[in-house]
Amino acid sequence: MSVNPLYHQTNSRLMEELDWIQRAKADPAHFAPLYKKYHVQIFRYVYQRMDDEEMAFDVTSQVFMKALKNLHKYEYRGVPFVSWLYRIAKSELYQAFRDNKADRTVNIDTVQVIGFIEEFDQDENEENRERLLKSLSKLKEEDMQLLEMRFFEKRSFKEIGEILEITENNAKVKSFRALDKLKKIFLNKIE
Amino acid sequence: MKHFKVNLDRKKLTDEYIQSKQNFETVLKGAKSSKVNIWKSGWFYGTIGLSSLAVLVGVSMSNSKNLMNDKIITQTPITDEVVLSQVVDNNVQLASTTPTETKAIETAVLSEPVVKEIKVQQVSSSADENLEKVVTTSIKTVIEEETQSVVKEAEKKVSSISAIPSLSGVHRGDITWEKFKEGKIFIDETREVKSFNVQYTSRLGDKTVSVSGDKIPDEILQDLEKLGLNQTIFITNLVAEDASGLKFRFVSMDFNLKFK
Repeated sequence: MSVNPLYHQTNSRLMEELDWIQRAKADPAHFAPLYKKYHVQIFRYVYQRMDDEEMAFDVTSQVFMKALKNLHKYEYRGVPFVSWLYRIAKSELYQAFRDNKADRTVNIDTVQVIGFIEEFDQDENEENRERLLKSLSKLKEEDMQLLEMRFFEKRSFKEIGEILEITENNAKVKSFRALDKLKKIFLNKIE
Repeated sequence: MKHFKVNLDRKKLTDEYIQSKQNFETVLKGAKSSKVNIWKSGWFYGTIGLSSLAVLVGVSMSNSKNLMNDKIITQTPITDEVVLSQVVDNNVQLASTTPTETKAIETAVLSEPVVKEIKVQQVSSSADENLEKVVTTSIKTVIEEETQSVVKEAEKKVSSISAIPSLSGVHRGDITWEKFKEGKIFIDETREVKSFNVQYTSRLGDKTVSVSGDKIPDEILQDLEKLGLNQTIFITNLVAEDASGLKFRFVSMDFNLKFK
């Protein structure tokens, strides 16, 4: 599984980022490099979970506004700055769902569908593809976000743990349990 | 049960396209202008909570104080002084009624010696029709049976009260400067005015002055003369005393003072 280079950074990159954060705390205009660096991936995270493109851009803007407004509260504790942005994004995203501004959506490629079917040792055909899409729609939110991060967005367990504020090991266990639940639904073992 | 809408093979957006939508200026402005709603802030709930607690404690302490007072009243025998002050209160309420109405109310009070709440709507029907006034009073009396004789003595005095205060023969309405400055406040032959409040407008603004005696003091007259304007003057909190030292409060008066 590939590694997100923007998430797993070298020490010198992390130091550079911390310098930007300190400058931005003193003057919000210095937040610009952080905005440019992370805008695309935060947008993709948001847009992956909703249907409306314009709404996804709006939510992404809200994420950065909130981050800038609360930047004085941010302290580096060995976790990359972007994981803090992801947490804000998650919060803003669910706020948009609660306010009925957007519908929770799962976006998946045919390649990923086939990957799941093969993982479940089933024949790859039209019927099973349909069945898998139906099974995905029946998952609980908690399981869905783990599968999205692990299998759709290819995030490491460390990154998943930092975004969801759980340990790396816990992220691993929960991700496999979520995959197991999807398999059971797919094989009609649970409704 | 279906929890999500599932899209298959949605068109991918390029990084260039997403970057073209970046607008840091908007984010900067938005962050500066966005303020947390007051009712969403933690300190707001803290303040409200503390205030509510303080009000609750205050109310409960006040209630417990009243309960203690009630106990003291029911346990202490009612003295003559208590009853007399009660009668004086009644007299204050009855001072502007006709003798017939006064009698009726007195009878009602005396016929219910324990606890009685009487709501009286009085319409004064004296000679001056301008004096029609509706007074709604709620009189709560606690009178023990053994004190009835004291009340009956007071009844004789109460039945004679039907006087209306006046200044140079005027109770309310237009009054000339000459009549106003020369006159005394008069009730009747049996009672002498001891104190009252005067509300008027001076050069320095509205004033309320407490006065002892039955005459408008010279300082007030000088104030009024300096201003020299026609104005409405209120005489309130009028208290008179009879020969036995019993005090009575009378209805307020208001005059339209006319200099010319």
